Amino acid sequence: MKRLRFEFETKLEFSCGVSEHSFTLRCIPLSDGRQTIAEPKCVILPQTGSVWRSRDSFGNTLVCGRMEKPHNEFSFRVEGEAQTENSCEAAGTAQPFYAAYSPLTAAGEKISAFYEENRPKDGDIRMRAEALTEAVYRLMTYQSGVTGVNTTAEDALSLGSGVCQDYAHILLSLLRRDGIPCRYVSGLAFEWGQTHAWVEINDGSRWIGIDPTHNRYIGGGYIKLCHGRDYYDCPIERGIYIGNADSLQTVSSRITEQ
Amino acid sequence: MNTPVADAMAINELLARYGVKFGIYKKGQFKEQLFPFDAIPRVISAEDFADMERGLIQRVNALNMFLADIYSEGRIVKDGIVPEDFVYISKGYLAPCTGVTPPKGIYSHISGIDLVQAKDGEWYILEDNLRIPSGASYPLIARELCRMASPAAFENSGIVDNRNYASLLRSTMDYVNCGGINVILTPGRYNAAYFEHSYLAEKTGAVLVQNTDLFVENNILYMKDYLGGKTKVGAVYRRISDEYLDPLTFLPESLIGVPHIMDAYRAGNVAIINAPGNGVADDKGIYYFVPKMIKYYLGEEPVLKNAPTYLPFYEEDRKYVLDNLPKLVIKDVSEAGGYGVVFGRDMTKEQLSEWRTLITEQSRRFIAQEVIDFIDLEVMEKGETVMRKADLRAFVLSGEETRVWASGLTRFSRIADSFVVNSSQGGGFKDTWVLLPK
Repeated sequence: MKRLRFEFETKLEFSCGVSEHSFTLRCIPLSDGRQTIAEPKCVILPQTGSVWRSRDSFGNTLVCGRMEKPHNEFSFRVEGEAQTENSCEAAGTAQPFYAAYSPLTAAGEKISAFYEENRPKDGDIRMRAEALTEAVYRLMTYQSGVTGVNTTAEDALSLGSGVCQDYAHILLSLLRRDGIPCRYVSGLAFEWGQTHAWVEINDGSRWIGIDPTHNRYIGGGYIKLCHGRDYYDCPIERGIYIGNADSLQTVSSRITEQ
Repeated sequence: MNTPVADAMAINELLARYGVKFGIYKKGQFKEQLFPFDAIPRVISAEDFADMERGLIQRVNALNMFLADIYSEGRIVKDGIVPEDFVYISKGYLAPCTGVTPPKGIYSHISGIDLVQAKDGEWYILEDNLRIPSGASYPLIARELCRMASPAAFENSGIVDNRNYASLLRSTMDYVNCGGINVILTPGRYNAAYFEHSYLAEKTGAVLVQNTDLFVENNILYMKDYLGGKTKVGAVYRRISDEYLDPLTFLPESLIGVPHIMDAYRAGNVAIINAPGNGVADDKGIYYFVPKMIKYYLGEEPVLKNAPTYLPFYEEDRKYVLDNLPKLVIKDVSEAGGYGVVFGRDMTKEQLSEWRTLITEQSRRFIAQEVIDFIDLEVMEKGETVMRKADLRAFVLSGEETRVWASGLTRFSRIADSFVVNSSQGGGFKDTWVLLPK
C-alpha cells in the first residue's frame, strides 16, 4: 500500500474574452478496490457563476459549471490524498457496451490486419491482453504533436506514433477485436508530470489496469480519474463558450509519496 | 353542397396562407416548400382501425420495453434474441444513456409508425420512427381548414373528430413532466418542421423556445425570461437530434444544443420527449426483430405484420438476397426520409453485381424486403382522378396509457407507379378519415 499526495492543474488561456462558458470536468478520482480517495480540494477560477456535481453513465463524478461573465482565463486545480494498493486489480463487472467498438476504437483494415499478425495463440484473458499490449508497445513510438484528441485507433496505428491516449485506443481496439471487454482510463501516474491514459480489461469479476505506453500492469503509483469506452466518453475537461478565441492549454500534475 | 374535393384549390390556398410548409436542404440550399394537399381523404373503417389500433399499441409497448431493457440489463441480447451487433455498435445506441430511467419509464412518447395496405387489404408495417417523428400537424390543420371550406361534408358523415391530437400530446407531456413548464425546443426557423413546432406549441400551450432561451444550473433546466428571471422546465419536446442535444455529452461542435441538459435528465429533473437513445430501436436493422420483441416481452403474437424482410447479416438470408436481388428493395439502415432506398428491378446488370458485392462486404448495413404491392389511392390531378401509391403514418402517444390518434398522415407519391412517398422526395398528403362504428 502507498500513501500518495496528488495535485494537478489545467489552465486554459483564451486569446480574447469568452462568455456563456459551460463546462464539465472529470477531475475527482473515485474510490474503488484499488484506490481510496479522501474528498479532494477542487478550486476553479475565476470564481464566478455556478458550479455543481453530477454523475455520468460510466460512473464518473462530474464537476459541472456555467460562467456567464466574460473571462480570459479558466483553470481548475485538484489536490488530495490517496491510498493505493500495490496491485492492478479492482473488483467489478463490465457493462456489455465495453466489449463493443466505440467511435474512436472501431477496427478498420489496419487494425484488423495488425490483429491477425499478432493474434494471441491461446491463454486466458490476461495472457492475451499481455501479448496485445506488448505488440502495441513494440510497434509504436512515443511522440507528442503528431496526433490529436480525436485521432482514432486506426489512424494512430497507421502513423505508428502518438501519445499515451493513442496507445490506449489501439490496445482497446485490439482487445475488442479479440472479444475482451475493456475501457479507457484517464488518470495520474507517478513521475509522469501530465495526465496519463491507460486501459482496464475485465475478466468477468475484476478490472485489471494495463499501461501500454510502458508495457506493464499498473501499480501503486497510478491514480485513476475517470473511465469510458474511449477518450470521447470521458475527457477530463470539456467546455463550450461564446467567443472567437484561441485557447492555450497547460496541464501539470504531481504525485508524491508520503 | 360543397365537397372537400371541389374546394381543394381553396384549401391549398388556405394552407399556403397559414404557412403550412416544410423545409428541405438540397445541394446545400435551404428551400421551403408547400406540402401539396389532396382533398380526397383516405377512409379507414371502424373495424379496420380497431385492429390497427390494437397492433400499434402492442408494437409501441414492446418497443418501449426493448429500450428500457437495452439501457439497463440487456436481457434480450443475453437471451440471444437480438444479436449484439445490432445493438451496441448501432449508430443510434448511446452509451451515455445507460442506466438512466426516463421519467415514468417512457422512452418513446410519440411514435410514428409507417404502414401500407396491400392489395388484399392487409396492413404491413414499413418502419418505426421513435425519434420524435414529425407530420401530425399537417393532417390536423388540413382537417381544420376542410371543415371551414366544406362544413357540410362533415355534418353527417360519421367521421371521428381528429382535433384531439393537441390534447393527447399535452396530456403526454403533463404526465411525464417533472415539475415546471412544458417547452417545445426547436432549432429554429430553418428547420424542416418549424411550422409544426410553432403550431403544436400554440395548440398545446407549451412555450416555443430555442436553445439560447434555456440553461442548466444544479442539474435543473430553466427557461430565461425577458426580465432575467428563470422558470423551471419539467418537460422538453425537442426536434433536435440526440447527437446535437448536449455539446458536453455528445457532439462538442453542436450550436443548437443545451449544455448540461443530459445532467438534468440523468438526475430525473426533466423529461425529454422523445428520450435520447431511441435510435437504437428504430434502426431499419432492428425492425426485423420487432415481431420477436413482441413475443419476447409480451408473450403475444404480433397483430400487425412486418413486410417480409431479410437480413444479409444472416448467411441464409444473404444467400436469398443475392439470388433474388432483382425483385427486392434494398434499404440502407442508417438513412431516413426515403434516402438510401433502391429497387432491384431498376438496376442494370452491372449495378446488380455492384450491389451484390456491397451487400456481401457490408452485410450489417443493409436490409432487403419483398416489394409489397400496396394499394393505389385516388388523387386529383389537374381536375382528373389518377391512382397513386400512398402510405400512412400512424401516431401513437405513450403517456399514462398508450393511445393511437384516430387519424394520421397519408402521404402519396405524385409520380405514377412510384413507391416513394416521402415529403422530402416531393410527395403530397391527404387527410385520413377514421369512421365511427355503425
